[in-house]
Amino acid sequence: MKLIRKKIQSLLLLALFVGQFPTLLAQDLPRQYLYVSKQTGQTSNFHGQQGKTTDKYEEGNVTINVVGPITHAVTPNDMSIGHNQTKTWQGQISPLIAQCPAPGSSVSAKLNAAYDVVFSRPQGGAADGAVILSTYNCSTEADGVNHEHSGCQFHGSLGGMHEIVRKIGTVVQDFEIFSINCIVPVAFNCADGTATLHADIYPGNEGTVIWQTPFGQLTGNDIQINLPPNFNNINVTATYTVRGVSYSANGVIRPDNLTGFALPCCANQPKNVRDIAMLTFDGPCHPPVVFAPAIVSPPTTGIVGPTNIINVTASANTVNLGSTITTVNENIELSVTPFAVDFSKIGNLLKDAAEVVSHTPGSPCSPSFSVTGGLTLTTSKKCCLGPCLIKDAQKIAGSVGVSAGVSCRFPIYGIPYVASLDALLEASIGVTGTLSHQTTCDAPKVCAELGATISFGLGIGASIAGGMITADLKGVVEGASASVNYCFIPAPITGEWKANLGKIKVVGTVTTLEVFNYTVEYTLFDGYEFGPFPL
Amino acid sequence: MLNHRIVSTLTKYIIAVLLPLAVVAQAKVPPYEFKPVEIKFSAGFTGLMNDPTHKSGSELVYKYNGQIFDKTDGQIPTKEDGFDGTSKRSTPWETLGELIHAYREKNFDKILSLYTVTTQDQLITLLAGEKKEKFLNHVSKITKAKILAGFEYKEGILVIYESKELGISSCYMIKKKKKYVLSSFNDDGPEAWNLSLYFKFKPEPITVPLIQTTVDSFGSTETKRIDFKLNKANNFVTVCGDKLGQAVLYNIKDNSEYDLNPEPGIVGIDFNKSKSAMPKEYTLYIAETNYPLTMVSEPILKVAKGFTFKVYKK
Repeated sequence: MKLIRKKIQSLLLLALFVGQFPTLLAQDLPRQYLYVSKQTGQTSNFHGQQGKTTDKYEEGNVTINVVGPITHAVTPNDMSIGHNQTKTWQGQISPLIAQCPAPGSSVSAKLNAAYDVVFSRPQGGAADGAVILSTYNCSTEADGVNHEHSGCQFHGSLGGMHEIVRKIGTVVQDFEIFSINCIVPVAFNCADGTATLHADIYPGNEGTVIWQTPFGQLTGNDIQINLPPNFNNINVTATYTVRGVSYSANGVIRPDNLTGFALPCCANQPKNVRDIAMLTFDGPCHPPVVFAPAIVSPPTTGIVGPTNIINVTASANTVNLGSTITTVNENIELSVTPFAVDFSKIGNLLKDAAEVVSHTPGSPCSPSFSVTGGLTLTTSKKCCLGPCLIKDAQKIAGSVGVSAGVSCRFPIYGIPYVASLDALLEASIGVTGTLSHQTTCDAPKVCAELGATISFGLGIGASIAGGMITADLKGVVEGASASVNYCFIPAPITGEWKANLGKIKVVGTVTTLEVFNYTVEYTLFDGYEFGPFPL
Repeated sequence: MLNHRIVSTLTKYIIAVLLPLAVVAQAKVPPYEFKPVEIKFSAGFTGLMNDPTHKSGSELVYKYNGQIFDKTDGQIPTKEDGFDGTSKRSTPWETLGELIHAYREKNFDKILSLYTVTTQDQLITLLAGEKKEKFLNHVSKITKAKILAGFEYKEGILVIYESKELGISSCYMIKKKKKYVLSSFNDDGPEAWNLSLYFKFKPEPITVPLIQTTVDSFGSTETKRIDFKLNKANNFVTVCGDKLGQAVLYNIKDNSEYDLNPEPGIVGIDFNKSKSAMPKEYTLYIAETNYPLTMVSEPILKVAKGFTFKVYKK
């Protein structure tokens, strides 16, 4: 505050210092704020004093006028000064409250200071619009006569050129005058017995708010106070003060009535009722609410069933409301039964795949199939929120291993020296999985991908004509993969099986009756995609 | 000297009397007439080895100095024809004639004598013990043999012949002292193998069989029998998708044990035998060949006819 006052004080006398601080004229003066209270008639102002002693070259005159609802006063009123003279002024700027706007708004004003000053400065000063009246060497003074102890502080004992200049201009200071205001809302916000003391203040850029309450004086806006149980109306006063200018307003903290109390339909773990209660009031000030019981917990395993219905009351001031919640112990298993899955289709599809490899459906194949392990289906209760519902949850757990094999004989026609040769295709698939999958509130399905490995082997051998025609061949399978997916829940069980087979080549040697030996390598096919097939 | 004259005169007499009879009864060994020949066929059937050197588009083209016999030529004379199993072995066909004669006679020593000394040793080793008897029992089944072709191949002659009893065979001969003798041969190239396959199947153009069964749709748990009427009995029916290089779904030979329709010229195939088809619309392609096919290739798709059916959930 002192700093601001000092600035304004300097401003009033600025014109007189132009010669000493010529660069100041180029600066934009920051806008300054003044405050009035239409309620109390208080105003803020700027005031101060400043002295000036001129040298033999300096002289000047300043004329001040104002625009807007402000007034100024300078003592002495004469703002001129001559050569070698000392003067001191006192000045003040104040708002004219009667001309200021209503509380909660502001108005602009400005002070114009027109100056006309003459002073001496070293030659070559800034091109600031000053008029050079004359020049002189500071070793001979301006009168042209050599004096003892000639020279000047700027140039030293050897002296140098100075100029006498005249400068005319205006300095403007802008003001914003705020008509301050303080409004206390009709109803305070209270949450769970804690009221927030808030006042709408204007302009709010500075100043403080002080509250007078039955619980003492509190400073600040958005102050929180704890309200006592069963409280009634509480009177409070807020006073907004900025630079000694104040505006006050009264208010009442009125408790509103509890009109509604609801709880989620269920909880699967201990819950503080306060954290899950859904409350409604007939206004924004919510008094403290007491819940009984304060905590709801799921039933203990082995004591009762998986669910427990609990009645809860909510009390606020004189209002008592009730609600219920069902707590669920999701770990209590209602039933555990073996879960049967028909994996035999995996074996059938493997046989299909083998038949495709051999291109001969119905080829004599010897399938083998086995299943190890087992799955269980466990049912329990589950608390689902959004939409709120207690659902039956199902869990599939256990491990399963399916092993299927197939051995097929089929004709190979691609040998020149025999009508056809028997090839032996041996294919196997292994499917394994360890499951622990449960339905969830959002996903009432249990689906899982089981690990699957598939392999194909192709043997082709023949010894004909007492060993004179030999075909020592085999099939080379370049890569095979399979995937098996099941959705166990909901019924019926569905699944999908697919496999990829890489290139199959026939390689080896063939010897004819007349000992013509061939090194053989040919491709049966580059690959094949089986499925997907439903399981 | 006198005896010699008598014998000579007698011989001339006998020859003069019997010659006309022999000409009638004994068939000639096919003429040995090698000239430039070209064999061109589709590279798409099963068993062919990859032979980029001779591949032109989707065909294999082989050019040799050789001789290809048509259906009626190339018969090797038998003892029923009056052939006594001896010749000058001055052509590959004469040597082959002696070999077939020796097979029928179970004359192992004669068989050995037709091979190079090195190969004779191999044969003795290979057919040691009871294998020799088995071998002779097998080859003596031949009643008639027909030369299919012969080519100048590497340093000798590749001969491909067939018999009703033993099918196709190929042998290798080299010329020694103006005589053709059989020799073992280790071939690590695709040419002789592919040529043998060509002569085994004698591939004809791909055609399309007629679908005799109406196939619009069937349930996912149903098996659908579809009959295909062939243009030529004993051919293969191929059912495939349209992805090149993929395995064909079915390649069934008419009258084979996998043909579910016993009527000649009609191939029956069960679709969705596992009764687990994914419900959707399927488009498959069918083709008919006189050779086996295991892989989808451009020549098949060029000719094959598509047929569409829907599998609905049941």
